[in-house]
Amino acid sequence: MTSLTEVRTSEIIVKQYQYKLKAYMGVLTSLVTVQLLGLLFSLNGVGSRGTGTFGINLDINYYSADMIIIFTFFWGFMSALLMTTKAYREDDFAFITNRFSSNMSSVAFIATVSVIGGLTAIMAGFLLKVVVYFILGNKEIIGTGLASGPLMFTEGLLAMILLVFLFSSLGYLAGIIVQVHRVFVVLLPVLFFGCLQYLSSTENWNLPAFMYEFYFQESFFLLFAAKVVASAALVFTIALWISDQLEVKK
Amino acid sequence: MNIIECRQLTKAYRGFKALDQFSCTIEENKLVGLVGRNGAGKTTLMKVLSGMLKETSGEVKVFSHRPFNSLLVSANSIFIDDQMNFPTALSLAEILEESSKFYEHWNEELAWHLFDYFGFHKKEYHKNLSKGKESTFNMIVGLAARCPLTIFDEPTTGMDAAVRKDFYRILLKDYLAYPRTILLSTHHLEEVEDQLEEVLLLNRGREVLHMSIEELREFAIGLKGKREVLAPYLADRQPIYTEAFGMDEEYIVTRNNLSQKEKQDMKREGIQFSGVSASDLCIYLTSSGSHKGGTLDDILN
Repeated sequence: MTSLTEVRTSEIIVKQYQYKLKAYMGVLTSLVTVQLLGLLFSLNGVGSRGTGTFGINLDINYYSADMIIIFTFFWGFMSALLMTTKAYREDDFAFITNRFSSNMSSVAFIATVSVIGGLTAIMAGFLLKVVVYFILGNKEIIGTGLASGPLMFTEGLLAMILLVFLFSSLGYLAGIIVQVHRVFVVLLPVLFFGCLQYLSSTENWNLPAFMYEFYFQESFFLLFAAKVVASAALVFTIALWISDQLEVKK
Repeated sequence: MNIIECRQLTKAYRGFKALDQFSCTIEENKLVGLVGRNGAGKTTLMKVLSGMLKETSGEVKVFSHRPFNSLLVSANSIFIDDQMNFPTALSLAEILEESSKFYEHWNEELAWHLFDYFGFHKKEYHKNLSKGKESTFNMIVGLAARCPLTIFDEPTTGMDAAVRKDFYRILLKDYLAYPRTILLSTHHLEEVEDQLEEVLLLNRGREVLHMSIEELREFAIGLKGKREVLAPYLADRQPIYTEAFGMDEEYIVTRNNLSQKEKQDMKREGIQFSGVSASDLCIYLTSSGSHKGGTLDDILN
């Protein structure tokens, strides 16, 4: 009897993760592009105010890296969605895999690039300050928010990473659902925005408001982190459960 | 020991049954040719065996495990076809390196020797290869992986005659050096029959026959002679294939179980005997003339 190779799932997941790190690093190119684009849009500023009294003119321009952050979320969503497409899933099947290990290694990869995405998005805030400094010339730049302390900065950074991960998980789920049937390409956005529209117009319970409160109004950082991680885990579990039935190479 | 066991295996695509109550067993360390017409279910069978597709009903066991979602089956089998999807970001050399990390019995030496022999460049990309080169590269991966179950779905697509010959030689040599179960589907049985041990013939999702190549070569006999002379001998046997020659002559293929006396009588009456090659027989056994639509001759006339 030919001796069969006994494999441990964890071992295969690690191998797949390593190969994905090598094979899928192209997502970082799109990350840079997207963040530069975000930076470009941020240069416009988000508002300005000018007052003048007693011969002193005060012009305040507000700049925000929000655009970079939003673009990074979008990038996370799209990158994860792309990973669920047929070509990427079939790549795994060129080597040793089953659906579980394929998904888990993807989740690990997504977590890794979320860290990179979150980190660079926060850092891009500093880049924005530098660029603004050079554009405006020798004017006073007053930092707010993240610059206000190391603890605050660290929390903001971690929160950003976690949120990129959460958005990526949603992209992954959306991608898997589309793989089940093509009709969801149309149906899914329609359902999503339809429900959103409906739920934000109901009187007694407002979903977007609830979401905002649930995640963003959470003042205790660890609880916020737990909420986001739990949500992402839930979303990935659903994706895993659905994709367990997906065939490849039809 | 059976490596593959299928019982009443059915795989349906939106109502169309690519495999229909298919049953077969394949023993360990056999080199089996899978033959059949286009759409006979060869590829579907291979994809179900390698866990790509999920069976609709029935039972399929590879190494005594259900292949769908089995890591054990995936680790011990490899499926090579002409639509292999390797990560597009990896060069050919990197694909071989990755494969060597995954497959335990990977034969580094063979892989790189063949890589050089067929003139691949390390920095080439799989998607830029020509059809024949692509098949050649896939074949290298399939052979070097040395999986206990190696499945080749029409591996020679696009290869030129010289490369095809090389492939069959390498296949046989490596199979002898490192015995394993190899499943190979082909439309050119005559090219590969010297390498094969067994042939599994499929038609419309069912097994038509499964026997050793020697048995298959002896399975049928061709008779040629005048129609009225042939007729009495064929009264109680089923012809596998019939073709008219001229006004009153006929070529008939039938089971090769004529008695010695029958043969002598036939010879005396001027009937000529001929062997039927394995590949011709497979065509006759699965000829589309046997179902609705009539024979090709009917259509052409």
